Parts: sequence; structure tokens; C-alpha cells
Amino acid sequence: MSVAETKLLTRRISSNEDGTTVPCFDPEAYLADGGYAALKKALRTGPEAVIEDVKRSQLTGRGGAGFPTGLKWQFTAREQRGPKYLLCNADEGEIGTRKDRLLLEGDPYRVLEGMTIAAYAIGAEKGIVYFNEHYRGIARQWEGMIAEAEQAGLLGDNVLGEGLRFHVKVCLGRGLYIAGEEMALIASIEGRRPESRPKPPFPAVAGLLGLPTCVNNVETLANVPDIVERGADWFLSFGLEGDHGTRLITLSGDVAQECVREVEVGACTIREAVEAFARGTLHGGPIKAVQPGGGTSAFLRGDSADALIARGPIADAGSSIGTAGIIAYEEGHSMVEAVARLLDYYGRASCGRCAPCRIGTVRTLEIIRRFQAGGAAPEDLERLKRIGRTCIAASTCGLGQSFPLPVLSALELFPEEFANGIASAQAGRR
Amino acid sequence: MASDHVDLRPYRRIVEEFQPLERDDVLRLLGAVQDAYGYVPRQIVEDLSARFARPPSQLWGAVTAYPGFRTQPPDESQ
Repeated sequence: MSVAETKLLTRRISSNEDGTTVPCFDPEAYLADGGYAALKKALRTGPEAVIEDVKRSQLTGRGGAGFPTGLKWQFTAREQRGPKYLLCNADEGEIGTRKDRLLLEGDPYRVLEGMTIAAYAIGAEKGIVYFNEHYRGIARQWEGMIAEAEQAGLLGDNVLGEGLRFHVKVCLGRGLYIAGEEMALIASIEGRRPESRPKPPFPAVAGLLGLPTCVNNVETLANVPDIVERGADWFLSFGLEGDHGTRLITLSGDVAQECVREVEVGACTIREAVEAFARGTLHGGPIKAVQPGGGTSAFLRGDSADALIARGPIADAGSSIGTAGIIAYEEGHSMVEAVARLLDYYGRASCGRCAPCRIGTVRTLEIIRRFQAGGAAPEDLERLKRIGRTCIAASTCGLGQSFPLPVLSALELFPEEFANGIASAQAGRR
Repeated sequence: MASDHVDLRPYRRIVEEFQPLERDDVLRLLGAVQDAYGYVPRQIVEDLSARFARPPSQLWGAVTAYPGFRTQPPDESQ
């Protein structure tokens, strides 16, 4: 089977020789290539028809949680209060994920048009793009683009001369992972500590400043113009039953060349993608394990790398597609080390608002460090599992609910590596 | 204390640029202050909380949460 990209979202994007993206902030180029035909069509058909089309396309959120986009829009659209907000989540802090960056730089007008269509559909007059601190340069370019788009009548009080009001601001994050979680993102923009909170109320009802708010990921919004212009049936022709379109996959970890590629949902396996796009593993050895959906997704064993890149097959294998950030671990990579590295990151990322995550991340890392040092107690295995299960069940947001997944899956799939970290095992070897 | 000697002119220019101030501008303003001063002076946090009718502790809580915000001027000797 030949493995190739399916360039829908990335069809206008080109790369430099060194693999970096060619930025394209030129409105003329976008308009000349059919840009804004989708918004024009949306304005003709009306907001209900747009939401219906997006629902029918079965587009799901590409930021990790995979919630149906059309449904989220419908929830926000039916709220009567205003002004409403459309937030574009460009925080992209997940380990092993840097796909949104490609769109934000390579085809930013596609994202902006997607935002405008979403705003029209839900009745939002205000939009904010929230950037990761590391994307500061791109955020500056976006500010320039927004000013230019206002001049060109693509944003402002009378978009395309059709009386649509939509104003967009750029907000730069300041280096906190948790700010990418939707409730924390809202608190962050408001100038409060970026902490999550229990839902409901959902942002659709009480979001930014208590107003109805829809938070969508960059890649999700980038899918919108084509769905609106070409119709849901076109989108449904890609992918598998119930999971359609393409995914921007980020290949990283022990690979020869880290990269981002766009593949049709279900068109190739994880292993094929690593071979075809990332030029195989770092040292050419077999894949020992893989995290298919970013740093908080459960590990799969190397033999599960034959799962197709799609929600169902990856779930059947025991993990989740999440952000489609595929992190490969080559034979020889210590899983205890891998878990320690992840926990070091997520432990510092916890906002501390809810006890399970605040305490669980720190305790988990302490215990993992004992395994690393070969000084763990036999009971530490059970402790790790208990803390993990508690955090999954009792944490407020996705961070606390998912950081234990790599821990628990590593324990299950590679028990011998943890057994080697128990003090008595070390003593017996001497 | 350093906060006694804060030159407020750059801050006033920032506020001017943001007019009309909107309630969704708080983090953006704090960010602009950090970028202009190299830190977020306490005095400015107090002024901003008055403008937005928010407790200073809430804004200060936000400022101190992020690694990208400083609360003291960067050490010029370094």
C-alpha cells in the first residue's frame, strides 16, 4: 500500500528547503485562490444551514477531545444573550503536537475565514485567537493580518459588504500549558489565574465574561471553509464511517525526521506513517511503543502501530487519537524514563485548583523517580495505579483525567521495566 | 522600592492604544505592560484593577501565575 498525503487543509501550504513553512499572509493570494467563496455561500444560505451542514459532515474537534463541532455551534447559537464570543484555541501546548502552527503560518486566511463562518453561524461578533507564547512571532503577523483584513472588508462592521459584524483580537499566552484547556483559556483572557472549573455551565452558556462562547481548535476551524463550500457529502467522502476528513499528524519522538503531514482518516497505519513521512525510527530499530494522540494519550505496544490512524482503530487498540500527535518510542527506550519525562512536564502544568491533579501529578512523579533510581518499594506499583485511577475519576479537567493514562498503560504493557526499579529486585541482582 | 520610580508614560501610551478598553483586554494589557517594562509593576496592576473594577488581588494572582510575567524589574547587571 502506498502511503501519501491527502492535501485538503494544506493544499495551499508550501515548505522551504529546511522544512519550515512558507508564511502566507497575503489576502490577495487567498482571494485569488477561491478564498471567501465559503463565507459568501454561508451568508446566502443562513446560519442554520451552515450549522446543519457542519453537523452532517460529522466534523469533530481536532484539539484533542473530539467533540462534534456542529453540536457545539448549535449549543452556542441557541443562546439568546450577547455579545457572543468565538475563541480560536491556538495554544497548542500538547507534547508531540505542532500541527496548528502549520496552518497559522502557512494558510492563516483559511483559519480566519473558518472563524468568520463559525462566528456567523453562532451569532458571535467578537473573536479572539489565543496563541501559545512560543508562537509570539506568528501572533504578531496575525495582528498585521487582522488590520489588513479590516481594510479589505474581510473583518469589521460590514464584512464583505453584507452587514456582518466580526472583530478579531489576538491574545498571547504567557507560558502555561493549562491555559490551552478551554475553561482555563477563558479565565486567562479575563485576567484571572488560568484554572479550569467544573462544567456545567458550559462555555456555550457562560463562557468568556459570562457570555455565550464557543472555543474551537485551529485545525477544526480550518476544516470549515471547504465543508461549507463543497458540502457535507464531499467531506463525508473522506475517511471512515463516522470519522471523516483528514488529520494533521505530528510525527515525533524517536523518529529520523520529525514532521507534520496531512493524511486522510484511516488511510494509513501509524507504522506506515512513521516509515513514509518520518523516514523511520531514529536508529532504524523497531518501534517499541507509541503514543498516538499526544503526550497524555495511553501508550500502545509496537505491534499496535499497525492500527489505522483514525479514532475507532486507535481506540480499539487501547489509546485515543487526541491531537494526532504521534510519538514513537524505539526499542531500547526506557519506558520508566519516558513516563518520568511526561510527568515532569504535566506535573508542572497542573493548575493546582483541584486536589486530585495537584497532588496526584506530584506524587506520581515522586514514585516514578523512585523506580528510575531503582529504589521503589513493591507497594509503589499499586500506589501508582491507585493515584492514577483516582485522578481519572475525580479531576476537574482533561489534564487530571488524562495524565495517568500513559502511566497506567506503561505499567500494564511494560511491567518488567517497573519491576526492575524495585529496590529488592536491585538487591537480588548484586 | 522600585515601584516608587515607575515611569508611567509608556503605560499611558499602552492604555491609549487600547482605547476603548474592553473587559476582554485584561491579559492583553498585562502582556503589553510586561513587554514594555520587562516586568509588571505593582502600581500598574493596581491602576488596571481600578479601571476594570476588579480586585487587585485577582489581577496580581494572574500575573504571578505565568512564567512569562515578572513582578520585579529584570536585573540590569545581568
